[in-house]
Amino acid sequence: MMNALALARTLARRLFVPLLCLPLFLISAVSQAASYTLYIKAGTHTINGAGGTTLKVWGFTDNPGTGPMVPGPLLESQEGETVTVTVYNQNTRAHNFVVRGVTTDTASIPAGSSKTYSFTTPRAGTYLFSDTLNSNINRSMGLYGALVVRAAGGVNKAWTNGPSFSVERLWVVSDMDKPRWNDVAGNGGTVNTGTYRPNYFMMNGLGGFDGMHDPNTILQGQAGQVGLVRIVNAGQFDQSLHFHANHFQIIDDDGLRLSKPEPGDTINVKAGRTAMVLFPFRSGIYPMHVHSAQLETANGVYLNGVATLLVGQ
Amino acid sequence: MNASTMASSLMKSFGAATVAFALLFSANPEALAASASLSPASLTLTTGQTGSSVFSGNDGNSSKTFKWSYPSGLSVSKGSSSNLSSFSISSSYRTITIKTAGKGSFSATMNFSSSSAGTYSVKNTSAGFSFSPKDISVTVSSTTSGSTSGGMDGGGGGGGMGGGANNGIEVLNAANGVTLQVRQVNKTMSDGNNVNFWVFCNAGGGGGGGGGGCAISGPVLQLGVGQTANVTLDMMMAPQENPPYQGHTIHWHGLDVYQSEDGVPETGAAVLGDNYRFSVDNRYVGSHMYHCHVHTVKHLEMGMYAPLVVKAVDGSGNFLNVINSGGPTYDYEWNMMFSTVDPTYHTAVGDSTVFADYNPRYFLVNGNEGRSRTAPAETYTATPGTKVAIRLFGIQSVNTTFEIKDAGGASKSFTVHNKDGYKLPATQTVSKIDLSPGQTADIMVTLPTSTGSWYPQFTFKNLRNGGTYANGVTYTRLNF
Repeated sequence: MMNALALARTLARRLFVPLLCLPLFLISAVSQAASYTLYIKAGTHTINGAGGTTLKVWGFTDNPGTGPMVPGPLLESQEGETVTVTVYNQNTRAHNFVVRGVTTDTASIPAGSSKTYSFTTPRAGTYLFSDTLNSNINRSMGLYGALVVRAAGGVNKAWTNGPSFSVERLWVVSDMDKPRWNDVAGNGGTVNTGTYRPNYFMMNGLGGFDGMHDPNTILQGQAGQVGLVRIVNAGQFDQSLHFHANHFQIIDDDGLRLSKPEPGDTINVKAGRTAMVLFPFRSGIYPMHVHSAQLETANGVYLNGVATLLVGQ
Repeated sequence: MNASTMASSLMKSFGAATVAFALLFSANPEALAASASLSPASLTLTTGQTGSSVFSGNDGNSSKTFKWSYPSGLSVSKGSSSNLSSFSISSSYRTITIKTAGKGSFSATMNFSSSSAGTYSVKNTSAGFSFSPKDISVTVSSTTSGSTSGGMDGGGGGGGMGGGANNGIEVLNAANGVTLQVRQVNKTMSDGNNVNFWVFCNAGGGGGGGGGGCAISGPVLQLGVGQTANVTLDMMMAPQENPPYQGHTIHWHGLDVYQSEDGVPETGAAVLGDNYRFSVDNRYVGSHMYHCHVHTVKHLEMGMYAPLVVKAVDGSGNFLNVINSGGPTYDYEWNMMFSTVDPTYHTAVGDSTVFADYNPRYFLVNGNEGRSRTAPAETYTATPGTKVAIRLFGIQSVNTTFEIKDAGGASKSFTVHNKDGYKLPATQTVSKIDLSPGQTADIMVTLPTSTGSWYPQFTFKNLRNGGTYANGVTYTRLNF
C-alpha cells in the first residue's frame, strides 16, 4: 500500500515550495478576448499504475499534432469577455460542441468540417463543455472539458465582489466503461446504452495514483489560506467527494450562487453538473476521495480511482 | 501540537512499549478493585408510581464521577446514599451526577416516576470506570390499562428493545477511554443468504459474544465539545486482509483532526492498533461518523462504521440535548446509520476486479433490513408532542433519499439543522432530503399530541440515473 502512495506523499512534500511560488494566475489575467482552436480526434487515453489501462477515446485537443486530451483543453475567460472557439472535426463521425448553460447551438459538425462558436461569458463560474450527441456516448468517450470564467480583471474572487481565495484548482471528474462502451464504440460497434457499468474513474483524466502526484490536481496552500475548488462532473455517475482535513463552504451549486454558503465535508456533484467550494487549508497532508465503493478504484484497484491530496503548510 | 497529540505520536512511535504501558495500567490494584452495578437496570411502572434503582459498588478508594442524562417527561429524585462526595440532579439539564468519596464501597438510590406513559432511557454519559449495564430503562404504562403508547407487537415490551434514545445500540463517551476491537459477525439476510461482516465492538463493555458489544453499525461514540477523545483500536484477534491491506484504522469522518489522528494509512496512520486523541469545538456539535480507512472499498462495505455524535456541554461538562451550538433542544435522539451491502464484496479480497462494479442487494438501517412497514429495520418509541432529533448517517455507497410518511402515506415535513455535522446558515424545512455517500444530516420533528405511528424511510438509488434498486426502500417505524 505504501508504494505509490508513500511516493505521492514524498513527492507532494518535495513539490511544496516550488508550487507555492508559482504565479498560477498570471496567464489568465492578461487576455481580453479569448480565442481557441480545438480539434476532435480519435485516439487513446492511458490511466497509469496498477489496474490502469489504455482506453480508446474520442477527445478534444488544441494541438493538431497530438492525440485527444481527456479532459479537453481548459478554456478560460473573464466575465463579459467574448470567447471564440473554432472546432475542427477530424474524427470519422458527426460531433458538436456545447458549453452547458452558455451556448445553445447543438447542431452537428460533420466529419471533416469545422465550425466557429462565438459567445460572451456572462457569469463568473465553472462550466462543462462537451459533445452532447449520440446518447451520451460521445461525452463518455472523452469529448468533454471545462470553461472557467473568472471575475473581471482576473482578481482572486469567485466572481465580481464575490468571496476571495488564494489558490484555485479545477477538478474534472469522470468515469468510463471500458468493456461495454470504449472498446465497443472505439471499434466502430454499437453501444448498448441501457447498460453502463464504468470500471474507470478519473480526476482530470488521472487515476488516483497520478491524481495524488499531479501538481495541477493536488489542492495545496498555506494554513489559513482559502482554496477555491471548481468541480465539474463530466461522467455519467454522480460523485460524492469527501474532503478530509477541513469542512468546506459550497458557494456555487451548478451555477446557482448560494447567498449563504453551505458547510460540508462531502459534496455530491451530479453527473453533468458543476460546483464550487471554498476550502480553508489546515496544515498536514490529507486525502480527498470519492466515498462510493468502486469509484475509489481503477478496475478494482484501490485508490487508483477518484482521489487526490489536500496539502496545507 | 498540544501535549496529547504529542503523547499519541509518541505512543505511535513506540508500539511495543505502548502494550507494556497498558499492561502496567491494568495491573494497578486500584483499578482491579473498582466495580459498580445498577440494580435494577430496568424498571416497569405505571403513571404516577415511583420506582428506584440503586447504583452501588466499590470505587477502589479513589473518587470517581458518574453521569447520566434522562429524557423530559421523567421525574428523578435522590434517595439514600453512602460514601459520596456529591449527588446532584439537574432538572433543567436533565442530568444525574454522582461523585464517590474515595472510601471504597458506596451506594446511591435514584427514584424515578412519570405522569406520561412511555419508555424512558436514562443514559450513562460518563463513568469513572466501566461497568455494565450502564443505562436504566424506565417503562411507564398508563394506569388506564390498554391504551399504552405504541401498542403494537409488544411496544416497549418491558425493555426488550432497550427502548429510549439509543434503541439498544451501545452508546459510549469517547472521552472516557474507549477500547474498540474488530470482530466478524455472520448475519442471515432476509433472502436466507449469510453474509460475513467485520464490525467494531466495545472491548470494555459487557463481555464478548455476539451480543451487545458487536453489531453491524458499531457502538455510538459521543464526545463533548472541548473534551478529549481517548479511543484505542485494539487489533487483538481482528479479522483482516493480507498485505498490502492488512490491519485497520479509525478515521473520524467529519471531524477535522490532526493528520496523526486521521486514520489514513497512506498519510502515516498505524494499521496494527493505535490510540487516537482529539477534541473539537462548538462548530462540530452534530452528527459525524467513524470508520476504518484501510482498503475502504472493502472495509467500509464489511461493516466497519458507526455514528459519532458531538455534544454541546454545560459549564460542568454535562452533555446538553441541543441540535447544535445555540440551537433548539430536543427530547429524544434517534440515530440512524444507513448502509448498503453487495455480498460479492464480502468474500473478495485485495485488488480484485469485484471492486470495479457495485451491485447492492441489501439496504440496512442500523444494521437491519426493513423491506416493509410491517417489518421495519427499527422501531423507536417517543412520547406524543415531544421533539425528536433524528440523526442520519450516510455510510452507503449509493445515493439515498430520506423522508417520513404517516400511516396514510402522506409526507411529513421536518427541519434540517445540520449537514455533515455543521450548522446550516439557515434551517431548511423540507419533506425529503438527499444524502450521498459520506454525508450526514441532523433533522428535527415535533410529534403530534395524539398517539400514532410514522414511517421514516430511506430510498436507495443508483448513481447513474437515480433509479431505485430492487428492494431499495428500507422502512423504520416511529411510535408515539
